[in-house]
Amino acid sequence: MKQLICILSLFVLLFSSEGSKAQTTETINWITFEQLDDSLSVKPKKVMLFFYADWCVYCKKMEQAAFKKPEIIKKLNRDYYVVKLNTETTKSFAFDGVVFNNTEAKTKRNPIHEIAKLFASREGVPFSLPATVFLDEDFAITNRVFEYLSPKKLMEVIIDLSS
Amino acid sequence: MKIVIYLTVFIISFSSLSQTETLKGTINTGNEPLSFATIQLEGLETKGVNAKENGTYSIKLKKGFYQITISSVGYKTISKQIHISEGINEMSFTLTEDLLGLEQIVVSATRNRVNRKKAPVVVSTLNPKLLKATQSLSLADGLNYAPGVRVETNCQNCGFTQVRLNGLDGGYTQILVNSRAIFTSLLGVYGLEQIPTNTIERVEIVRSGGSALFGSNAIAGTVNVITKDPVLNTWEIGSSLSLINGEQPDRVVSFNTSVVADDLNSGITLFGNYRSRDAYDANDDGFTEITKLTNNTVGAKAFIKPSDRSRLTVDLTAIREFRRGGNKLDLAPQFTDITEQLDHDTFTGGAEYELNSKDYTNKYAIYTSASYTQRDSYYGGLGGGRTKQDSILANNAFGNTTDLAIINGIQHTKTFKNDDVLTSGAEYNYSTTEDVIAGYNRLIDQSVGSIGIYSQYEWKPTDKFTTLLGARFDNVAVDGTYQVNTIERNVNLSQSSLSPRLTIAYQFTDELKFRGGYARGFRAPQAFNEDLHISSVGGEPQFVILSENLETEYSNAYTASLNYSKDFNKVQTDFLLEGFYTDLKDPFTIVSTGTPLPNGSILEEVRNGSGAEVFGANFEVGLSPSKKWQFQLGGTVQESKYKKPQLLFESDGTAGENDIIINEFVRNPNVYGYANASWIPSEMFRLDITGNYTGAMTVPRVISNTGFLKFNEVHPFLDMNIKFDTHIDFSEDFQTTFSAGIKNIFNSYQDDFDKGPTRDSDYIYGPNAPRTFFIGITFGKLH
Repeated sequence: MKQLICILSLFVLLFSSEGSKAQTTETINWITFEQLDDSLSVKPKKVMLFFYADWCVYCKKMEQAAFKKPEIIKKLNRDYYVVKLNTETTKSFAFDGVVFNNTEAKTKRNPIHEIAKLFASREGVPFSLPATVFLDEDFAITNRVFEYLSPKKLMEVIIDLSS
Repeated sequence: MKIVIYLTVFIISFSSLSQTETLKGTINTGNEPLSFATIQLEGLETKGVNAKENGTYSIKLKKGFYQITISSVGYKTISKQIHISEGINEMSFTLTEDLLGLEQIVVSATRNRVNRKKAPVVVSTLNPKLLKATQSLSLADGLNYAPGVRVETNCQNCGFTQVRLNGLDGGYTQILVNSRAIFTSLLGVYGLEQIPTNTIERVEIVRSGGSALFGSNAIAGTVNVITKDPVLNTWEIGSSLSLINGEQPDRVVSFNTSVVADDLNSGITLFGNYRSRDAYDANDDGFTEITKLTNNTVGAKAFIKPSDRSRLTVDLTAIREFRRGGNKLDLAPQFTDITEQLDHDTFTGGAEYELNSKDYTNKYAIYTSASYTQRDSYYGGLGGGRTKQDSILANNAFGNTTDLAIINGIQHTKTFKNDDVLTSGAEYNYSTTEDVIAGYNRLIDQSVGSIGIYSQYEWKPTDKFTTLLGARFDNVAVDGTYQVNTIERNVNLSQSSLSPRLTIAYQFTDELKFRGGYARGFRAPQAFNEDLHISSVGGEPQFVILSENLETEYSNAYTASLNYSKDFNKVQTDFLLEGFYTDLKDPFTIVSTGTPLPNGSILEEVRNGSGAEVFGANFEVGLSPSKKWQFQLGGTVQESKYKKPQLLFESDGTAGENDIIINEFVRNPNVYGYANASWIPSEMFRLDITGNYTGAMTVPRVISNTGFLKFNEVHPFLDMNIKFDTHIDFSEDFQTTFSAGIKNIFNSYQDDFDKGPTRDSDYIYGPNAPRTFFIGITFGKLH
């Protein structure tokens, strides 16, 4: 038992030290849709919307891989407002003068928020995650990606959009 | 969306009283007015309005500078700086169409059950959550929680387990690991207990062999163990301690870790499991009811994608398992009365390459797998006597087994434009088993080569109707020599057979689906798992040997089911009712022939029995009122009987003993089932109550040393478990789960075990352990 405690505390130490290291490195400045509303009115900028859900393992992988790469963090933080939304959130919020709800929350087990449906729905294709939506300074959609983005692919998309 | 718009209009009109200045105009697309565009103003005050159907809008504002933003679904948003002066300001805006178009809203809850619903055959799956909820340490523990499946321990000395599907013995079920039939007859004896649950991603159970893809012996169905295929980088290590009947410990340490490249083009999972279980003696006679067991498993599964369209998978597993039962476990086996001791050293490896065509309509797979087992065995002992003869025999009960299986196959899947699918393939399986116990002059030297060629067409003439039409051609060549003492039997045959398979599925409504299937199968004469097992009766080993002129057995299996699943808002329901009828011709039946051998051992022969039919119904009800609550109930009501009375014991004429003839299968309850309930109040807590019901059944017991049997009607069992889990997230990278619970709360356990060195070690039935307390901890980056 003593050994176990020793090993356990070692692990905790190991990971807490890694945690503190991570804090000093830069992370993506995720904002909410409400914050995006304000930010856009102050200073128009390109926007990237990232829709995820707790059950979406590829979304998690993107957060652990692509969104942890320093060069991507740098580029996104500099050129974009980046918004992250859990599509199953039941919060209502105003964006662009319209209040968006999760109307499915009362009827569906995995309810999809209206704003996610608005930006990330396709005709004839079921709603799927991960969904990453890119918009230009005029808040017009420039690209939508409905699959896993590796760090390399995401970088390509960003570079493609800035050229 | 409309509701939102109305709501917004309402709010805006409500708040726009007492304004003096007016901004009005129209929103158009350049050619025509655009309805319902959203107009947002920010400046001295923040306001919004929606344009009317004819594109006009009007809003009252204080005078000053504003940022106006006009947006509409499907159009590029524009944003401009404007000035509102006194009186009426008229401004019109033109929006241009967004070609990437955010069109209509399509939503579908496509996860979970949809695939299962769409499949033309009923696939029951066991997921890791259920295996955890039932505190299943090995596959053998968890399989009971699918309809139609019953796993039972069949030997007190060695813990031989059998999975019975739809009322048929283990030999009628094909066990696959990652869809490959690497489970040989030898591995089938103890293998279910050798697969630790921490390597399992899910278990898929298909009852009745309605698909041509399954082997000719998949008559009752298939159990397909799918190992983990990761996406995230995770690691975990866990340990649990169980106390069988509150006294005998069962310790497990397991780990697994996965690393997957950021581009998902390569990855590996490593896993390991250590288990050490002390023997348990239920009736204090000094003889085990549950064996001592140590198991060490390590393995890895890795994949690489050389291109987007191809994938290469390799897997390696090594299992070292030691088990021992009987008495005086601290002595060498030959000094005990009864010992069954098995030391398995198993290595399995496989590789698979998949390639998709450019348009993803053709998929090619080529695979190879091999498993090699080296086994040291001891089946024997002094048997209660202490004579010189007993001692000589006991010293010669050591045995050696080697077992090799190789599987090679190719498969081609073509998907047509109308979603029809054609699957064709060929497979060559070769297995060779040599089991030698010199002291008994016992030998099983068997090689089986089988070629299977199959083709199956999935035809979808309408949205509602799907049919699977297929056939497989099998050629099985068996070359075997079977010896016990003075008896020798040989099998040398090459048997070809064409087995048609048919499945139809009809979707009456979105909720209701009918499925029906027919499958023909066969088993060529050879030693199956039960035939490799040696039990002990009357202090002597009891052998199984193939009879002379054993013929191939054939079967016809029919199944029909109705599946109703509907979501009432958040309440999910699922009902399955499935009927099955299996007709067996010349089934392999084990008949006890008494003691024809000079050494006094009982000999059982595998003979072609009288025709038999097994029929019944499986049902499953799943109900989940919310994410917090889940209930599942399933069961089987069935009957299995011989068409003509079947001989089970052949008397040698001893006074008071006679031939024993039966009409129904033994060890087959007419009713059995399972239930589980989960309560998940938050991400931190989870409570699971699970249980198994085994109805009354007939179990034979040897009551004299000639092998004479008596049938006992045994009472039903209710084996209930409770487990409590708590989950703590320390950080994104470190989480811990603690668990505790009780298995078999009501201690529903066999109470009439045979006693002493001359006991019938096969007289064991019902739940595989008495009341057991357990605690466990898992930590790592769990998700």
